[in-house]
Amino acid sequence: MYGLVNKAIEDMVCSHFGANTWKEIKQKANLEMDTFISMEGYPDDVTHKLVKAASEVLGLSASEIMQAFGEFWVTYTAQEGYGEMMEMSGDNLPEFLENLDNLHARVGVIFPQLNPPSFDCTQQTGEALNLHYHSSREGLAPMVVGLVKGLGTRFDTEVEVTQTQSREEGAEHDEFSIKYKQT
Amino acid sequence: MGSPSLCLPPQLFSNAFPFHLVLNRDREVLQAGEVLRRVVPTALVGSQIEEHFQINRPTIEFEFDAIKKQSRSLFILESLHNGMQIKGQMMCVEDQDIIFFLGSPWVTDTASLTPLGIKLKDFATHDPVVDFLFLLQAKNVALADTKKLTEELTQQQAQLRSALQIKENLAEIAEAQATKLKQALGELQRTQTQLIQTEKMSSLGQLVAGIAHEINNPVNFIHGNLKHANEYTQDLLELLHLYRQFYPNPCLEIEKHSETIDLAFLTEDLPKIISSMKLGADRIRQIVLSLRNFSRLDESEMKAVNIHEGIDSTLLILQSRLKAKAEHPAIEVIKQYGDLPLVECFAGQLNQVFMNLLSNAIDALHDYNSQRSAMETRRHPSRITITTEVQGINSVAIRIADNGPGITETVRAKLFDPFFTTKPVGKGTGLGLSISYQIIAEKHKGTLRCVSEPGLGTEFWIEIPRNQQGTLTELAS
Ligand code: HEM
Ligand SMILES: Nc1ncnc2c1ncn2[C@@H]1O[C@H](COP(=O)(O)OP(=O)(O)OP(=O)(O)O)[C@@H](O)[C@H]1O
Ligand SMILES: [Mg+2]
Repeated sequence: MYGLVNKAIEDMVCSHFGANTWKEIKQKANLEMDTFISMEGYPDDVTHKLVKAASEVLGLSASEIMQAFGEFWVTYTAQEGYGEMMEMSGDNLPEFLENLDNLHARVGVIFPQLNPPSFDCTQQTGEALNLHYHSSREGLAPMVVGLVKGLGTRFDTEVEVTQTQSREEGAEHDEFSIKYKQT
Repeated sequence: MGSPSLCLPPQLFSNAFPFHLVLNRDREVLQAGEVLRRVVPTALVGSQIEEHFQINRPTIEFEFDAIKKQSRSLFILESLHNGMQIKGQMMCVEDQDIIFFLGSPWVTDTASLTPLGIKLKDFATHDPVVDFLFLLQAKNVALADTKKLTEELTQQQAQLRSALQIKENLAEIAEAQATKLKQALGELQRTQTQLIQTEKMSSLGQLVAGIAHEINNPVNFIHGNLKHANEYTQDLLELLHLYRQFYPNPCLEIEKHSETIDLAFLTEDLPKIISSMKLGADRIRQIVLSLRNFSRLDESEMKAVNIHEGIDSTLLILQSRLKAKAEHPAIEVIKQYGDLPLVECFAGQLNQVFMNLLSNAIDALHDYNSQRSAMETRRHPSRITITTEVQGINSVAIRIADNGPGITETVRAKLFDPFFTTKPVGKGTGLGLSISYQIIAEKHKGTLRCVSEPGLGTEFWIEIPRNQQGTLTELAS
């Protein structure tokens, strides 16, 4: 996973718990690197170790952390120079979710060494849709929940996310049922 | 595969090229892409192209045939309204006498889109300008990263440098302190040495001075009365002689007593006894004088003295160690005294040096003899040679040499170190030579050297100025 993700975790921890907590987490994760370069690809293992260490230090479950991170990611990328990219992807939640796959396709084109996920929306109505998440990685579904919630905040939209299908339970891919209402 | 026969319906074409334009021969805009129409403030379709755009590249005017000729050129149009540049190409449709311009805005950062009134969404999905912009964005992020890392690095470097500097300073301080400490230690050792030796010598000196003083009175008493005893004896013997002359036949009792006491022998021996007593008393007086001479401790200032007297009195004190004893043969002392002037010095201290050098020589010779066979000792008897001479204009040299075992290179290197000794515990303190060195070098501004080789004996050289220049100038000033 590329450095920006790890950096975002760092930023999130630092802004909520302070630099010392981050140091502790980093130490616990026992990483070789000291800082992350945004555009560099890092082994997924690094991200996993960070999440694991953070959950130990902060006393939160890994999925809680992933969800929090997902929410954080939406504002973080907007700040870190990807605002236009976010903007391009839609002016409301359903439009954005529709474009999610496009967004990651571009990411994959720009950084061929990365391996972004793919998304797909079905059964779209005025207030609900099903989001299908295809990934080569394991265990990131809780993050999607956080991400969608973050998007809800971005578009001033109430969202309710339920995972209806899980790879962990043998499904081919993860699927989420998303209900939303513009406020 | 044949030539293409399908083409996009106009609406889809327009989606695919949101920034396209179509002109006729009169440069009238017949059609324009949706986004382009949106961003041009006045109606675009139906107007003249040159009211809205100019051609930056190639350098031609909006003239149908001229444009047609440049169908292979890269065109850059610039909006006269907001400066937006559109990069693309001109394509002439011959049979309809129209020209298509296909292109999209050329920007090098996302921020410059907003003033133009366009969004990334306005670009066709296939348009690589979007990806190009993302790539640029990524590059900028990477650059910012690099900058941050470089700053961190510079900061760390500065920290490292200052840490190194501190370390260096600390090392310097430590070194300076180490030298100071070493100096202080040397100083301490010297003072200690001096203290011990002064203590040693002053108690020896006091003892000697005390004994000399105590003996001096009774000896003078004996010496003084011996003169009278001699006179009285002479008188009595004279009287006896006269009696014999005038009373040649004494009574029997006298005759008998004379025989008992062997008067003939007595009268002959008595003067001899008295003169030998006088000799003995003289000798004692001389020794006492030497002792007092040696222990001139009271003298704290320099005096011009006879060096030979000092050496002689030292030898006298060491007499018993020079004589033959059961455990060692005698040591012969050869004096080669030159014609020395009086020398300005601390006489007591100088005697101390003679004492140290001579005792060392005696120690060495005794030790040597205890390891040699009697035969060898007889063939090469132990000898101490004392030579004195004037050296240059203002110096005297005293050399004390022995024909003992000599000194090895390693021992010689440490000879003058305080507490260096090769003698068994209790026998030597290792201070003799270090003290002597101090006395000669520091107190008298002279030199003390050792010339020796194993098997060839040892010679110590003392050289001191006749006059203490320093003292003279001090007095003068
Ligand atoms: C401008 C916004 C965004 C950018 C630039 C972005 C970019 C990326 C990148 C670079 C990765 C890592 C790919 C890799 O390292 O192989 C990633 C992963 C991911 N992104 Fe996004 N993303 C954005 C927004 C979102 C949003 C809004 C969602 C909402 C669902 C999302 C869902 C995910 C998920 C679930 C992953 C996990 C990777 C996996 O499953 O393989 N992203 N994204
Ligand atoms: N004439 C000599 N021949 C051989 N060795 C000598 C002679 N003079 C001095 N040395 C060596 O130098 C050492 C140091 O002499 P120094 O007079 O300083 O100390 P010491 O005689 O051992 O002890 P101290 O004089 O204090 O009783 C002696 O132990 C001895 O080994
Ligand atoms: Mg000695």
